[in-house]
Amino acid sequence: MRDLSYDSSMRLRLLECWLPLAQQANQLYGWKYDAPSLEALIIAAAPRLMYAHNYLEAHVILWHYQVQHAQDNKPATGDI
Amino acid sequence: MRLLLREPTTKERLIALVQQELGEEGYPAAAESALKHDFDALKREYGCRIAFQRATGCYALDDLGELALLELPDSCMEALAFLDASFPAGSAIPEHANIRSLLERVVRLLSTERQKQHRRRTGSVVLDLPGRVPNRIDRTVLLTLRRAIENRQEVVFNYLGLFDDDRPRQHRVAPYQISFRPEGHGYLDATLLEATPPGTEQVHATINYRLDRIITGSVRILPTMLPPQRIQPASYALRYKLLPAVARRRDVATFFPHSHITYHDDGSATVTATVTNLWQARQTLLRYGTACIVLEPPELIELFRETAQGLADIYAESSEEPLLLAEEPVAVANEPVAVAAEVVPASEM
Repeated sequence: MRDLSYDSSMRLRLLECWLPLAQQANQLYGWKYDAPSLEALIIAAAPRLMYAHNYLEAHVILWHYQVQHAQDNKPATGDI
Repeated sequence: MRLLLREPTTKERLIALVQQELGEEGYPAAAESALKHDFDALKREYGCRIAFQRATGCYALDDLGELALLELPDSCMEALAFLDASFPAGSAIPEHANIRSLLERVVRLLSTERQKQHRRRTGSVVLDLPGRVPNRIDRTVLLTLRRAIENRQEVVFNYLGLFDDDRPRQHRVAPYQISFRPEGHGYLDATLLEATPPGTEQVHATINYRLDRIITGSVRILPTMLPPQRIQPASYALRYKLLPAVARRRDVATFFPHSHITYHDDGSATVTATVTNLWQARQTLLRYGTACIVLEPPELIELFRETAQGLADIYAESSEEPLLLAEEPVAVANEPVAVAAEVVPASEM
């Protein structure tokens, strides 16, 4: 997928196209993402979403990035 | 038998595997005769049916007979029936084919009696997968469009919109992305460059084409390269109010880009966002019924007025039965088919 950072119209359309599905996943799996987080998830997943063949694959891709995001933001444990 | 369970196989491969696994205890010099002898013994002792496929030169296991390798408890048989009903043969999503293949192999491993039991059971409970769409998306269509997007090239195809009668029209577009919606349909996000014959859609409109309505075999990538930046679609500042009935829990869903939600003390909420597709925005907001009041933009308010008027006409109390309106296309921003959308489900374009 093209670099979305320099093209605001591409970015807007990207979000508009994928938000309904991302929001559905958000509700279905209880991620509790707010609007900016959901948009960030779509932007992060965009390069892979481009290659989704169907609804299920798109769901799995969003799920994968959500898990990755959750792990990245997990507080470090074990360090005193 | 393990190799045959996996796939139809040539006699050379079967012999090679036996020799590899059994070494000196494998087949003697006359290996082909020994293999034939084994096939006969399997048929005689267990009722296994192994057939030679002339076209491929392979042996295939048609029936395991009494050589039931798998015995499942009733709970697992129920689960098998559930999966079997949930992923029927010919499912819309191509990847389901692999699940079918798996299920068929598992069933073949069951005893004849268990197989009969399974066939009687199938279909009682079904997993309702939203991804199961009524029409299959042609793989070639998908791959060609994806290539056009990656190469930044114009594309032309025949498209049969809901209100195109039976004659598809040719659309030349700038393709940008493919997406999927919660109901399972796939869409091409594109900018219209030319429609032949012309319809009510405007040139340079941003359009979501449903992939399964693009006519198979009609997609052609054109040599014309697209500029790096997309033709700027008209964007609208969206503002709507949600009544306490749907907003009081303060968990309003985000459906549009740049959404900002303000919750009020009375339980209501005001949402602002940016959209380019008013048709889609209307379809999305209609889910709230009368608990949503669109405040901006005026174009969307007008669409809602038309919808409300259309619904009022259909369900007027004076008429005994809902009135079926003549489906005359009306110009609607951003969509290929101007839709009397009041009488069609969301996302059906």
